[in-house]
Amino acid sequence: MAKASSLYPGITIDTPLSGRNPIQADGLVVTELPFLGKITLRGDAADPAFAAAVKSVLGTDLPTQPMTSQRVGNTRVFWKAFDEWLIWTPEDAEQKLGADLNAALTGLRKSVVDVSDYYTILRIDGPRSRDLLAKGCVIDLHPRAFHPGQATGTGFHHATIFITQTDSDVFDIMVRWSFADYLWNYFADGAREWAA
Amino acid sequence: MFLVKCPWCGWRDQTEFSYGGEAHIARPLEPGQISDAEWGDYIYTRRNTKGVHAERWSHTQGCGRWFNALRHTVTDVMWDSYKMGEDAPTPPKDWDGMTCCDDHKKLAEGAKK
Ligand SMILES: [Zn+2]
Repeated sequence: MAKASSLYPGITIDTPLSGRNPIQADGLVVTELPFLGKITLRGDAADPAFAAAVKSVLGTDLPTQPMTSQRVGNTRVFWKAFDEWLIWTPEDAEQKLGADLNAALTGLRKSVVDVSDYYTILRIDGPRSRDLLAKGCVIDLHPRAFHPGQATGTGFHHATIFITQTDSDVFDIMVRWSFADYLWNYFADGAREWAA
Repeated sequence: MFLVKCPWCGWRDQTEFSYGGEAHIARPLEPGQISDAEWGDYIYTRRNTKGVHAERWSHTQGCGRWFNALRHTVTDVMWDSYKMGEDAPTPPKDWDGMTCCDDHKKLAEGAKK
């Protein structure tokens, strides 16, 4: 579904999976979550000034343990590396958040980059979600090893992805625009095993 | 294919990582002052170790960070990894390259019981 760009008047923007029907199978639905705001933040979380400035904007401490995340309302903050975080915001909230972070971090070593249109997000929902992911994902997503709120960068066959578990059977997967079609088709093909 | 331990993310499939060659090779501080032979040595000469090898890895698909690790080049078992700037861990002298540091620890604890 195309929409008017909030950055460039008169320009229409779209997503790489625009107009596709959800992938549906027995115990499985795959949809795109288009246009979510995405920001990568870098800095030194051990620097109290950095940590306090970020907290003043986000309303939460940055997650400092690998594979963890924080949630404030509809904004999610993921540990990406020891000096890097990924932030997902509701649609069109990323510009204000980015500006607020830049303002709060003035004078500190930091990087705030809007990557909203570099990636898109696919959601896999249903009791078959782990079975579908097992067809190409190299990490252990069994409930004893991975649980809601956890997140990590990993691979799905040839695609580099960032995956988080959102609910007991719900996984959100961030992928580069250029790999979105590849991942979607892989999921569509994988889901045929459980065609309803 | 084998497992690689990221110092932050833990044990992961090798496919998530990129290999960076032998570790701890320092770039000459004054490249203009050394001979062609010394420069060639820096660029090309490697230990080609049979056994415990210190090497660089990047967790490309995960956290994206570089680190060092010790791998047994005969068995492809990684003993342990360590962050840039840290000293290399020391596997036991008689390490046969069959178990990683974590399994080794578990086996040692099991033997005590
Ligand atoms: Zn890592």
